[in-house]
Amino acid sequence: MKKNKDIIFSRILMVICAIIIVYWIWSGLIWLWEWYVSVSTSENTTVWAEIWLFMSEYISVIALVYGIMSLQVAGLAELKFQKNFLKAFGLSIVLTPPIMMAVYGHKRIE
Amino acid sequence: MKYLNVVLKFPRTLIASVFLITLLFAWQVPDIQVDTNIKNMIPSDFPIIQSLNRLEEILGGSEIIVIAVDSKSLLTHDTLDKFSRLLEELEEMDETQRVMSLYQAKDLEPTEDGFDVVEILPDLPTTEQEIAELKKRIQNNDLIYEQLVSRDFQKMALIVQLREGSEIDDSLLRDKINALISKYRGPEKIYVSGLPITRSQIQVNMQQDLKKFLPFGILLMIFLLALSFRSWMGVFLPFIVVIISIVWTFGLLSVLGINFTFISMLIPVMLIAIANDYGIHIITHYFHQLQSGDTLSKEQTIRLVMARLGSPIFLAGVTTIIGFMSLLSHVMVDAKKVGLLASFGILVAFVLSLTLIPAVLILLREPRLVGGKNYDWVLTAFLKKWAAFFTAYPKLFLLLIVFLLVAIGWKIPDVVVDTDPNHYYQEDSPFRISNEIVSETFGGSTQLSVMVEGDIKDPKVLNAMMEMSQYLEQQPGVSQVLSIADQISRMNEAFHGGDRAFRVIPENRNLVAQYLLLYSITGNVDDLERFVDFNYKNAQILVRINRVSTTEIQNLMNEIDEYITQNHDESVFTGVTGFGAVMGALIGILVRGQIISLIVSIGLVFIVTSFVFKSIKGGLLSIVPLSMAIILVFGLMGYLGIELNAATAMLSSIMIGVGVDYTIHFLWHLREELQKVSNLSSAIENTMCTSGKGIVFNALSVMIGFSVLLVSAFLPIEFFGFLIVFSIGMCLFGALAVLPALIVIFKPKFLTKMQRH
Repeated sequence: MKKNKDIIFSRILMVICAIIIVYWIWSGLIWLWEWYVSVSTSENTTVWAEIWLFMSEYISVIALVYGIMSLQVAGLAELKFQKNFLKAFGLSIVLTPPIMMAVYGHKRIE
Repeated sequence: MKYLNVVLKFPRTLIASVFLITLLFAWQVPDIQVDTNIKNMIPSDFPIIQSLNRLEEILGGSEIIVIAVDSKSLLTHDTLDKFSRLLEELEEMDETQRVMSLYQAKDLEPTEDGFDVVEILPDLPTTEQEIAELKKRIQNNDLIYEQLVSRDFQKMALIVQLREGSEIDDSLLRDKINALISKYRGPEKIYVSGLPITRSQIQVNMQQDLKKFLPFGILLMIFLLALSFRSWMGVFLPFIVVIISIVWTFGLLSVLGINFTFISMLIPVMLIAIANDYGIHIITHYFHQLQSGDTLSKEQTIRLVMARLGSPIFLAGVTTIIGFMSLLSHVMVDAKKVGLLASFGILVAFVLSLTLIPAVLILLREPRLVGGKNYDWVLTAFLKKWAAFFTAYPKLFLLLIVFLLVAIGWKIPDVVVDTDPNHYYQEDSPFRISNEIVSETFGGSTQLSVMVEGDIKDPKVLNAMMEMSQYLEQQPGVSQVLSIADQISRMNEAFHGGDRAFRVIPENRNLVAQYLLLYSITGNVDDLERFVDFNYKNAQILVRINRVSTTEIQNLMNEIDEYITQNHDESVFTGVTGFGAVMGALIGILVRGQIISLIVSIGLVFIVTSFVFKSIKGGLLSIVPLSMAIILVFGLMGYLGIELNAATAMLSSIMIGVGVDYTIHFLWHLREELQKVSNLSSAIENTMCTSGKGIVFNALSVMIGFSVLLVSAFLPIEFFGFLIVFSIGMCLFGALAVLPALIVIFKPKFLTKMQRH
């Protein structure tokens, strides 16, 4: 009974969270479209130049996102496919997460 | 642990609630306002800030930007013509109140009717002879020579006085000025200096620093946790607690309308370094329990771990929060902010570690690939030998420590206090070079204002101002003193055919009024508005200060105050203010804040630990390693010439808040060990091998967390990073070396009392 209550309460809260996240994604898409329009109509720059500029400026943030993605994929390999987490994490960072999953992460230990 | 029943019965609801609150706080983060104004480090009710606001209200903005033009052919027609256009553009800026330069400079020329106000540069020189005449006129006018034009006639200053200012955006202003001067740069060199430029530079560097600190700090933490736990759960749970605590803290910062300053940059780094500690302890014991082979259910395991860790984690959390909260006793506004927000972040991390982590653990499958080879045998062996040494030769060791403390501690009085924002940067940074050139050539871009009240046309007041100016000119570091009294004495000189003997204040008030009337007819009365208000009731003596330290500015201010008290009517000279004065006042605030927060944090930690161990000796033992670390850190600052500034002023409180955890963990576990073994040396050795290891890992993770500060663009933050890493190392040494040696010598009863129980 208590487990049911827990599930119901948590789902209500998660719906509210989902609404907020959808709103953010929508706002983000609008911002992205406006940015694209302004950059593509500008004579001083190009979309690729702006993306490159953004990437070089936020390289540390990109590295962090990559690190977190590697962590989560290594976690998946560990919890779902019983793999060595440290090995999966290292391979994810070196080979990228999808390649790690393809060559190491998905194979179940016998 | 009743709360744990709720957590374990409603884990999903708890996780969803935390997620929702995090989203709501995250929503607030983009609204955070950045503040780089040095003035705002001081409480607004402080006299120095009130007088500065009053000055700005009466006489307009007191902030200036100095643009220095460097050219070998400065006084030629082409160069002067080129920069007259820059001057026009500067004057047209909305932020400009007035521009002072060679172009507007005036001379008082004696005539039959009195004097005329004539421009130094009525027409641009075209011939060598005209250039030579211009040089002569400049040399004869000490308001221009070496003030607006350099001694070698190769540099010229355009001084932009800004409007009264809260609405001025420093970054926009900097961009505007940079865009303007880029049109005129080359072959001439152009340097820009001034506090608004400094502030906008700080803002740019703050953003760059945050882009480095946060991602690299978090990445470092992820790698450390991955290597320590070798499990996703061991990485992700402490990591998510840190992230949530950072988001909540920044959300609160925005909700409370607190501005983000360059000192606030320390908050996320502190949370990355400290906030994962509680989670790490819980995960370590959870994994240890899973590996122990007990046939407990998952819920029983979690309950057992939380019951074991509750007290030490609670104590460590409380003392860390106390350390940070002691910053609230600091006078500096930024230190209070850091104290409040870091305490909140740590409280969040502490609460989430005790609630969110068990809630996630109960839902997740138990990890199967926990542990591995016993990789810490080297550390265990080392700690055993370490414990054996300190228990065998405690007196010799403590004697050496006392010697070390005396040798390093005597340098503490040499610690210099510095609040100059120029010193946030390396000496070879282009920004600082620009400031140095302006300071060396034109007498600096820092100003003090001596405020004057009364009938400004009264010769008595004017003579008092002249005396004050003469006194100020003799002070070291003062490059220029300007006031209405000086202008009136020049008018008197011009009125008497340029006879230098008449460069004095006329005896008659009516004559002063006539001079001013004459000046307004032939010249522009606006020239005087930076010195005196419209009603001639308030005036200021402007004191430009050359390259001096903020300690010297503070000394100068004290001397001026003393001079006023001894020689003048204090109702006439109402105070010393200006941005130079703000920097000077910050020194006293830093020193006072440092002492108060140090006493408060040490005192509170002593009270809490005495209460917990039910022993005053227990309290004293807890603070001895911390006190040792404080002496060593400040002594080292004296040795290396590291200044006490806005960042390093918070060192002691943070060091105490973090470092006390190690002594608490050590004493707590030693007391438990003494319940199992009667021999003190064996108990210390066992504590060293169990709790000692945890303490070493904990300290290392904090040190590595703080080490990201070493890549900061700001020298104070960089030094803070170095000193905090050193001080945590000293706290670690104090807890694992000094503390056991003291215990062996004094054998405190509070440790053995538990044994009887």
